[in-house]
Amino acid sequence: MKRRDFLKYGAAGLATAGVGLSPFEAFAQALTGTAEIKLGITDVETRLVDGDKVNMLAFKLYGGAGPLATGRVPGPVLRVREGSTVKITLTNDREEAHGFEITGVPGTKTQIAPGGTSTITFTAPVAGTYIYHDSLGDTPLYRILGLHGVLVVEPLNGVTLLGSRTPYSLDKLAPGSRTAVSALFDALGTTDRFQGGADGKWVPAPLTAEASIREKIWICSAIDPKFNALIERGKPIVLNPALTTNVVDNFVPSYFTINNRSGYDLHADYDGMLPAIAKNYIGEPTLFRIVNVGLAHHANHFHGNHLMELARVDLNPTSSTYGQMIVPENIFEVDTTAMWPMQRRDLLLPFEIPPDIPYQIPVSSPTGGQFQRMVNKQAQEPFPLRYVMHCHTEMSQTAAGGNYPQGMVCHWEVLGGLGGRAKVAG
Amino acid sequence: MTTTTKTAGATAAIGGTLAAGGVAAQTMPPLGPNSTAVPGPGDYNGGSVDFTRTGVKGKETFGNFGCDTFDGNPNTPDWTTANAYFVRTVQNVDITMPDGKKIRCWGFGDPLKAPGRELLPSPVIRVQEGDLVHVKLQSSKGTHTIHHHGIEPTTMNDGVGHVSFEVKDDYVYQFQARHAGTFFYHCHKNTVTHFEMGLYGLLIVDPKPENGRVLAYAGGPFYDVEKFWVLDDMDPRWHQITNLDHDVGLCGDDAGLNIFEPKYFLISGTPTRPNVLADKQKIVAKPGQKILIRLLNASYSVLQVMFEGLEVQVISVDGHALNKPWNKWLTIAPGTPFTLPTAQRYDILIDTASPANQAKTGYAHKVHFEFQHWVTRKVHNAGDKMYEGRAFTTITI
Repeated sequence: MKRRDFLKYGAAGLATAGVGLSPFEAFAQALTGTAEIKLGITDVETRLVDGDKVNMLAFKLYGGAGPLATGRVPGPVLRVREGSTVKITLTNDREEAHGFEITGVPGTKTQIAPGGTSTITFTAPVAGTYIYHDSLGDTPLYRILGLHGVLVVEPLNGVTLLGSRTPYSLDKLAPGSRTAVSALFDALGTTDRFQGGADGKWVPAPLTAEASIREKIWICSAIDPKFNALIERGKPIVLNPALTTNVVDNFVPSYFTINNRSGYDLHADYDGMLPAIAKNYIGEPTLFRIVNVGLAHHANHFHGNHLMELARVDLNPTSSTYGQMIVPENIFEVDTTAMWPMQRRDLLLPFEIPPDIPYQIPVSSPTGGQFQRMVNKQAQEPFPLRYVMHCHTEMSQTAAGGNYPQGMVCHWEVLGGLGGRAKVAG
Repeated sequence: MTTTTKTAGATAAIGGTLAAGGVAAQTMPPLGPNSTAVPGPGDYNGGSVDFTRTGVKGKETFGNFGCDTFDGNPNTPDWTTANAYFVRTVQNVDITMPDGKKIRCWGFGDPLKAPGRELLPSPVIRVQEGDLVHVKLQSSKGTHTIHHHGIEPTTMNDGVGHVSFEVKDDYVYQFQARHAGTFFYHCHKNTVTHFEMGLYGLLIVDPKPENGRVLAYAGGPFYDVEKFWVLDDMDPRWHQITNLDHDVGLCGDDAGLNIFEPKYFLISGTPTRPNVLADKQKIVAKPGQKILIRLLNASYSVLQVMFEGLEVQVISVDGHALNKPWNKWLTIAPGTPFTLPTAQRYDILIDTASPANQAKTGYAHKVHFEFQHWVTRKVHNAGDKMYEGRAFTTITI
């Protein structure tokens, strides 16, 4: 039987998840100076896009609201200021030991006994995007089962000489990188290509929010249900050495997720979930912090705009900068970006007018362009313009062996032209 | 719109522009010297559009997200007269592999400029910066679309079924080429299988000629020798099941499409084993010449590339030249491997007269390709003489 009966599922049921205050109210005040965060490790059940259910392991946030309070995959987005003291207390509700580590941040690796508690204290590292995860025993097993999340470190000195805000501490960058980052962020709002004046600048998300209008977090992963089947709620994980001694070689993923959702379940954002979809106007550049906590090599392709590759991790083990975050002095504009396992990339979606919409009409003797006609309501095609982002290693576009495109596909929207948000707000 | 052929006469009546074949539309910008288009306007496809029958205004549901996707033959919204016109059909093409087996592929045909020409990769769509381009897709074997990858038009012209529609019979895609560089086009219906079947080709945007010469991009370098290297890998099981069922895997069918085990590896449509290179794979240049390679990873593998002996420079990535205030050409030293994800393009310039390369004449320099598994990063079928995921070609100076 085909899986049409799964039509009765879908995202509608997900919308009932918790609402209310920002889950971050609880520790918002703590995020200056010393940040204190309390995380737990627990069980959750995840309903996949086709209706099948799997057990997962999740971080929960003490003091959080909605699904964060009871456990959510991915874990809460943690935001701290560079140089601040961060204290993370971890409790482990489960019956086996778990680990914790923030990759690339010394002094963060720890272990939590079954039912136990562990605390780490560290100084927030250089500004950028980090992955926290359970790396106990140096296996990716617990990470792919759900124990992963993102830590964002905000810069202390992220402002260019011309006053443009950036995600990086410019004084800590090599001169070439500082020049490139400054040139790009100074161009925003001030050129023919990137218009909008002061409103056309990039704006960081508040420390108290997981994401914002101009900043999205995408956590890519994949699920092979036979590994999830090792989890029994409330009991220790059933270790199967034939599977778990070499997770990578035995991993045959059949669901491919962003923020633990895929396909139709990513077509809209719902309360309590980590939002994924950027819906902005032209001139509202948006930062995507994309990480891959899974085990497949992805090729994330954006339609509609090229993105600027701002930062990445050097994953080449033979390189002298292996493991370090690189803010390059050479910022490529790409439509496809390599998201290898444990890669962390910051990409800027400029929200420029999609460049190949006819801009000289008629082509024989131009008097205007189609986009302006859309803004003026003189065109047939309406807003929003919806563009997809999908992984181009197309096996990842499936769910349960088929069902294209119920895999790693999301979208973004151009709601209207320059200054459109202010016009709507009146 | 109906499926009856719309004649150029209709264009003259509605668009007010003379059609090809009549007195030529003299005011239209001329095609570039390398263009593979025919002069526009081609078939007229303007008129009203019912967006509720597309993903633009139709309600998106789990059911129409991939299974019962919007399809039809809408008019092109905001249709305007094009100066560059293409037609693409959907054809069968069988490729004989090194083990003697014939593998069924699909390719886009070009009935106007390249009828009967080889279809893998499909005929190049080559236009000039500023061209108003129409690409008419004539579907067969069920619905298809064309996504012009890296070209960024409106949603209706972007070729993604679940946010717009799939093409039942025909549709005219419309865009105006802005950036000179290397792009490609492919079918975006059940992409997982239709891209694998071979429904793709390069799309190149040339800058307007400067002093009679076509450069890599406006203000960019001139090149004497140009080569397309399009790398692909094929899993014969996927070709078999897709040829039997155009919609394989859709609507709840587990077709094992999360498992990809390629056996054949191709450079620009020609299998790479045994390693007898086809002319279209090799580069032969004279000392002092500049070589431009347009490199596309059309495989589902991590593609590792290594140039032996020669220093190369990446001058453009994904069709955007490295000439912005925040970027610059990337120099890759001889023998340094680098990787490309699926669908990425590098435009690579080799200056045979550069200090690093000028002493390298008289050799056939090897260029190595490794196709690595998308999870394990292992080279496919390592050690197998027939099916190993390695290939090479040569650059002779």
